[in-house]
Amino acid sequence: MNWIQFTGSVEMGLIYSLVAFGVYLSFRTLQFPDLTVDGSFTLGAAVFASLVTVGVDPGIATLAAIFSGAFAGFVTAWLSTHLNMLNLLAGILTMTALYSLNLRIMGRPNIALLGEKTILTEWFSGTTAFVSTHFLPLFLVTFLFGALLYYFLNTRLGLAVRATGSNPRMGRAQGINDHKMIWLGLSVSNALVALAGALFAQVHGFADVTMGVGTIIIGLAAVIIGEAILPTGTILKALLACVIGTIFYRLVIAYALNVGGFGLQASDLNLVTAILVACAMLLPSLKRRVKAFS
Amino acid sequence: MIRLQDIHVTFAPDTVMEKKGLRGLDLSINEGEFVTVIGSNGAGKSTLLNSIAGEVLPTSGSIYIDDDNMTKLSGYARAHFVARVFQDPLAGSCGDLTIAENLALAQRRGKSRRLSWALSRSLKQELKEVLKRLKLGLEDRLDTSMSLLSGGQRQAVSLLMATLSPLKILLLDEHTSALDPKTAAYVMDLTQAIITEKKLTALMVTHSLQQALRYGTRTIMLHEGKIIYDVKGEERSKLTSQDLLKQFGTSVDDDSLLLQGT
Repeated sequence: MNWIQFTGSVEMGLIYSLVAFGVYLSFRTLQFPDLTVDGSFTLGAAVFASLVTVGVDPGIATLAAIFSGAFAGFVTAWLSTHLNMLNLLAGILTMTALYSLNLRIMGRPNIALLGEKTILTEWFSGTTAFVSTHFLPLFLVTFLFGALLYYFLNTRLGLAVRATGSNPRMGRAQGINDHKMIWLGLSVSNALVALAGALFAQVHGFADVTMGVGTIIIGLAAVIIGEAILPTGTILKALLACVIGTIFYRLVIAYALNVGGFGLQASDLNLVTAILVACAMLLPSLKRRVKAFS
Repeated sequence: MIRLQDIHVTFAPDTVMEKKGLRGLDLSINEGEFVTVIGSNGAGKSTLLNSIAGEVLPTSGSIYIDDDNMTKLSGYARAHFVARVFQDPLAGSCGDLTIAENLALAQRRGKSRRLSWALSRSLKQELKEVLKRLKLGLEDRLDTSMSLLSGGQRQAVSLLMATLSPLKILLLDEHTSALDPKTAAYVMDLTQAIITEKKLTALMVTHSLQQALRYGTRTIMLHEGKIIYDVKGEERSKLTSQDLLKQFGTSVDDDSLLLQGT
């Protein structure tokens, strides 16, 4: 693996860390397997790309992307809480609807952003490249939102969201409106994912209607790998594990696909991901067995 | 004061599965009363508790706490007045949260929850003091995950959690029945001590006739969704569990309570 492949993986890892935060919030904290993610990732990119190409400030376009993601999450939550829909189905429905909606927003399946203003060109053009071109801005964004999420999960409100995921009956007995907590949690979760989508579009210079396919798996892979290789006893450790897990995942993928000898090609990506997740899930029980022997 | 007027609860009405939980139950509980509730399986004990807590909304009838009509309020909206300890030790707290976080949650029962930091240093100190009364050494394990505690420890913490902020009524749903006898006695004594000390109004469902008479100030017996026996004061203090059994036998001809023993 060369330096460009390495830093590219780290940059991708930083973007997808935001997805991992979102998936951690829905899947682990709320225990709501939310498949909206595949749609809201593209939604973020679509909203950003279509706004920026009509001349909207990239900062405002990114903000709009965040809010659009929050709304998508809210829709899934509402379908689940008010129509009593199975959580998986609610997510699939929103994701399916978003595919059409994203095409509507973009007006075409693909928007190129070459030469358009992005927050990278506007806010970080003066900074010298540290490690790689986009490392510093992406690191700062991930750090900022990771810190905000950490703060949120430790507030009274965040505690109520966590209680709802852990034991909704107890939450209600403490006066927590569990439906509202699911709305809030999924909105925040999908807002983070949409932000990742918007950042992805800015770094890679395009938005495409199919770019979100498999986002949920990448997020899950990151969370599960992170948990397998790092301790996750506290919120801080769990969020750190999300970041490390994502970067690790990206590096393994890059290694498997780029470094010769395996005979793998880019189209094998999903297979490699699936095997990686399976291995990561196997790891804790393997650890236990090894301990039992020694 | 808690008033329940002519409460009917019907589950799955107008279907073959139709089941009547409560059939015209009337009950007034004065402030400071500690009522124990007995009755055979399916008599409506849990339904009574769930109706007061708002987890089950009555088909007809009305529920008042002081002068506020609570009938239509759902559970979380009543939490300001109603505190609960569940039968299952795992149900009353969050295993994924730490002891301190669980207590912090309970400390704001029924109050608004916004974006201020949940566990301030002063709150932690306060919670430490609260935990000391359990004499379980938990005050030094504030940041331990709740899931690492034993059933008895969790139930004791649940009890503390329930009584941490002001309440109008404490609902105890056979909260010692899942514990071993020694731990059950410990939790029951703790319950009595807290209720006496804080002068709480409480309603405790129990399967043990002895427990029903030994604790509390008033005992009611439920059968088929109605109160069939209601005793307090001097008359109650003279009662033995044998008398209660006889009482039960004259009112009811099934022997399910007998089978559960004393």
